[in-house]
Amino acid sequence: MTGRRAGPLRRLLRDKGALVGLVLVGLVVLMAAGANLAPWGPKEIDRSVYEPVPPGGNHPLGTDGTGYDVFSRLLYGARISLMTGLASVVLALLVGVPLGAISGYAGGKVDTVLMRIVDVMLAFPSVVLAIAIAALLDARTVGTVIVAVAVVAVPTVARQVRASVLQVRGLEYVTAARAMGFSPQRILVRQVLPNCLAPILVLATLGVGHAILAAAGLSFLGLGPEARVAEWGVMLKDGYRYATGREQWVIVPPGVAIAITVLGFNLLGDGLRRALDPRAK
Amino acid sequence: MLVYTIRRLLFAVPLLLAASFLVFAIVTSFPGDPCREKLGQATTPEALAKCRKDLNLDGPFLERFGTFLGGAVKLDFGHDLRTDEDVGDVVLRRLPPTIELAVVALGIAFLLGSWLGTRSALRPGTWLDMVGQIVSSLGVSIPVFWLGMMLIAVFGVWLDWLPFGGWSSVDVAPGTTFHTDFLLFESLVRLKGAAFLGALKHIALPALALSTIPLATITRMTRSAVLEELGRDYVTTARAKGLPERRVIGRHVRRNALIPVVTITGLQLGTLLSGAVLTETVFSWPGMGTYMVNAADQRNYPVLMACMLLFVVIFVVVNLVVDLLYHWIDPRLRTGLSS
Repeated sequence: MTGRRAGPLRRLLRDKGALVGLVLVGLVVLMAAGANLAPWGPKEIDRSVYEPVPPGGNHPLGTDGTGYDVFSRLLYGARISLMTGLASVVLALLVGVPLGAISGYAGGKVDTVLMRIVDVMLAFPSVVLAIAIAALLDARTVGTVIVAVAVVAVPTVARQVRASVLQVRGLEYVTAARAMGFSPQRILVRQVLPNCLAPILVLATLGVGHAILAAAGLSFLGLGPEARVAEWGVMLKDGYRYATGREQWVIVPPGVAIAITVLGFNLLGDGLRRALDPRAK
Repeated sequence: MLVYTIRRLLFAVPLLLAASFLVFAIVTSFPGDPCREKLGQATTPEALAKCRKDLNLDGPFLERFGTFLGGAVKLDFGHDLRTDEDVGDVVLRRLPPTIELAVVALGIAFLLGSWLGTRSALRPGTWLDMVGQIVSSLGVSIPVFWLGMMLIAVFGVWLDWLPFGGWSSVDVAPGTTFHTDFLLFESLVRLKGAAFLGALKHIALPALALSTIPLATITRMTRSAVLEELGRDYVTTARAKGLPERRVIGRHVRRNALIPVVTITGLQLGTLLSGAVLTETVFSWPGMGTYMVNAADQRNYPVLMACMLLFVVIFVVVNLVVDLLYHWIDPRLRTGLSS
């Protein structure tokens, strides 16, 4: 009986998928927040270690060949991954939302030009473009990865926002606002964009997952931060040589951590979509 | 249809031109001077000038872009900065392994995904439906390079069932001479059983890893498409006529449901190529992906340009073909030519 009137938040909390997503994301946030309590520092090397040590003792998840503690780096890695994901999505939104909004609202030549640029960027498989941008920036840092991932995400954001703006633009209250003589800027910012927030929120949530996955991929390819940085992709790149050995404890945790984080944001994003737009299946 | 085809072709040309411009602009803005790097500090101005001329580094930007484009059309991308090989030749040698990997992965994903999706839709709520949902969630969340490492660890090392890595004629089928670099396709066409089996074993793990990305989307799409078709009137009609359920599903529902799925499968190519770059790196696959990653690492820019451009061309051309096929399969779309 309350089902029909339940607000988006209620619907979100009743959605099984979204709840699982929330729990997974919460877990990763906890890992990131608790990193200071980790037994070892992110770049601290256990000098007594000459080869990967199996889990146990003062290394809960073992160490890699260098003497890095896998568990501690896993926790610090959560920080870097969350930061990378959020920062690249924010960056992509900062560029993509205005582009898409202007394109959709202005229409005409502006729209054509902007969308052709978007088409050109979308003609690249995302990793290919990201690799080129990372190589162009020529700095092996987390920042490079953030920028590369963000640039690749901009066309998708712009296109989605444009589609939402196009939908809202034709609604009567926008016509009314125009009839009242409001300036296009004001209508766009005050009337149109607030009504596009729901799809942007969904896009952003799913985007964090994509960004974390893409960032880990770039790091794995060697275009991310240097080997000392406790980043999950870097840990996997470094642990690659253990795939053929017995030291699976070095490579299993970072991969599981990436999968959990990305899955969490994906489930949460899908759940948000259902909660914000009850008509969509 | 003809008008539509021509229009799409005409649209693809400026797109490719703009994309190659972007490739050229990005790669030529790389920091550092490739000639100084190549020749070292102790070099003569003449040698430097010759190198700059050979690498197309002199002259106005647009003129250099023109030279690049003119060469690219003839697959002339200059020489590898490190090995001095002709980049066009290497690219032609490295393209087949990537194509084979992508095709096999897409094949696995399509067969498995459309089956799992159909089953899930026919019996929603069962354990198979659960499996389908888990596959479609995990497929887009698990890093493909990590999955590749785990497959190596489990099936390659621990169980020792399948080889991991190595994709040359010597690895795949010692004693067989191949005329092309399509090891799998060629051994199939020439009916070389042992060689085909060898190739299949070598491609199994990387293709399996790569297939998970499109598998997720295909499963999800098939499920919703079949669910949608099941609610249509023609299904009721077919059932009312007394057709056995197998035929209703096989002949009617699946055929209609697969139209959007085929399109999605084709459009998955972008993510598939992205995934291929990562998968190739894990399995040391001698394809375009590893070539490009190494080139990016070394700032080997003739190679990087060639690889990027080729990836874009493949992507755009396949999308075009899929789009045209879609219009050809589904006549309803042809009436909407004006849109």
